[in-house]
This record gives sequence, structure tokens and C-alpha cells, in this order.
Amino acid sequence: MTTPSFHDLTCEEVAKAVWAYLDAEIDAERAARIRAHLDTCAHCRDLYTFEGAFLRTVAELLDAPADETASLRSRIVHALADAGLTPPR
Amino acid sequence: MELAHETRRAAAQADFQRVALPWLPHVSRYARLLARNPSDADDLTQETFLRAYRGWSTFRQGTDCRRWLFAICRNTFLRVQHRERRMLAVHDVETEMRETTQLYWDAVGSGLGDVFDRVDLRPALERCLRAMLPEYADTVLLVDVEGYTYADAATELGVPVGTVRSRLFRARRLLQEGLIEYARDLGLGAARPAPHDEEDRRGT
Repeated sequence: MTTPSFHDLTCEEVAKAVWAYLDAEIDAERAARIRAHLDTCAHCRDLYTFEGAFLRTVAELLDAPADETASLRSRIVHALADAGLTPPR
Repeated sequence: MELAHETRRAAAQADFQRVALPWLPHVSRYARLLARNPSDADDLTQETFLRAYRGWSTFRQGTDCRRWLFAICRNTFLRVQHRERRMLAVHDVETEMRETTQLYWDAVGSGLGDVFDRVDLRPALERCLRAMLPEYADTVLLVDVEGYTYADAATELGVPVGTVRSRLFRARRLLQEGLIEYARDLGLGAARPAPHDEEDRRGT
């Protein structure tokens, strides 16, 4: 039985795959090779950390609730009441 | 009989108010990202909740109401827009990743390696997303905010998986470029590389 080589990916190959890897859109075998590369390559690990922070920032900021929705809420509650929804007490 | 109907109706209304309405601030933000101006966004949010209310019987209790509302919001937006399906160039994923890696090295080289952890980037993020072609912004919202897989996003958008991947990677690269520029404009970091042209910024 041959032990798979986890160190056969170049830094360039890992960099090209970093988003797909972070998105878990890579097959298990390739993901394992990337993980092994990241375990041993500080440069690629820094890139991985940077891109991971970027994706978290995008998700957190875009998914945050809007700040001021009081007047919009009132408008929507009225529209819903017109559509038959009993206004909340 | 009538009483039972009224009881069911009252229960459904209470459910809607308890489960759906609390997501209003999230739907409002989502609508603002899609509609690109506050007035249209508020109309879109209102229409989303009206449609959600009318279709409340189709919502499966226990599933993700936020995601259900976002889908209604997006579909409403697309319907209202009557947008032509434009043929967009499919970008080379490898090229995007090469340019993204270069952005990373530029950021590190100018002391912005931790930019995402130390600057409030929300204004820049929203501005960059609004400046982007809707097809690119939609893809980011589906994958990065709603957590769709590439395959699910492809089904939702009616495009091949490869198109989702190329739009997503280009949109992310443009966002990242915009965020790093914003941080530099705040006086963080050192040198500013030559900006890409406006056409590129819109993802065309």
C-alpha cells in the first residue's frame, strides 16, 4: 500500500484553491493534500488566514441587520394589516 | 366550523408575527444590497413581507425562515427588474486567483495583512457591492451570506456551476480590492498600487 504524498502541491496550486477549500467545495482527497501543505507552509497558512478573515468579514457585515427599521416596520405592519394580518398587540 | 377556521387563521397570523417579522432588519439590509437605493429597497422589503404573509402556508415550520424570506426578496427583485439575461463573459478562475494572491501580497507588503480584523469595512463593502453588476452581487449574497453551495447557487440562478465559481471569485476579488483601497484611503498601510479600470471594477 502506498502512502499518499501530502506534500506534492506547490504554493501556487494551494493559493489557487484557497477559496474553494474554504468553501468546502473541494474533494476530500485534494482537501487533505491542501491541509497537509498548510500544516507545513507558513506562507500559505498566512494566505489561508487572510482569505478566511476576508470571507468572515463579508458574511458578517452583509448579514447584519439594518440599523434603522422602525419607520419601515410601522409601514410594513400597516401594509400587512391592509392585507388581513391583525396588527400585533 | 367557522370558529375552527378563525382559530387556525389566528394561529397562522401569530406564527407569522413571531417567526417572520423579527427578520425584518435582516431582510431590509438584504433588500438594500439588491435594490441599490433606499426607497426601492424599502418597497422591496414591504413587498417581500406581503408575499411572505400571503404565502405563509407554504413555509415549512422548523426550516430557516430567514433564508425563505431572502429567497422571496431575491425572486421579487428579479421579477420587478425584468432584467434581460445578459451574456456575461465567464472569467478564468485561475486568473482571478492569481490576482487575488497578488492582492494578498500587496496587502501584506503594505502592512495590511490584518486589515479585516482592525478596520470597520462595512461602508466600503456595501459601496463595492452596489457598484458591481447584479449577477456578481447575487452570487456573493447567495454563497457568502446565505451559505449556498456552488451547485445550489447554480440551480437558484439558472447557470452552470462553473459560472457561479467564476462570478463568485471575480466578485470576491473586486470586493477585496475595494476593501483594501478603502483601508489605504483611511491612511492605513503604505504604497497604493495602480487601480484597475472602472470597467473591471463593475465585473464586466
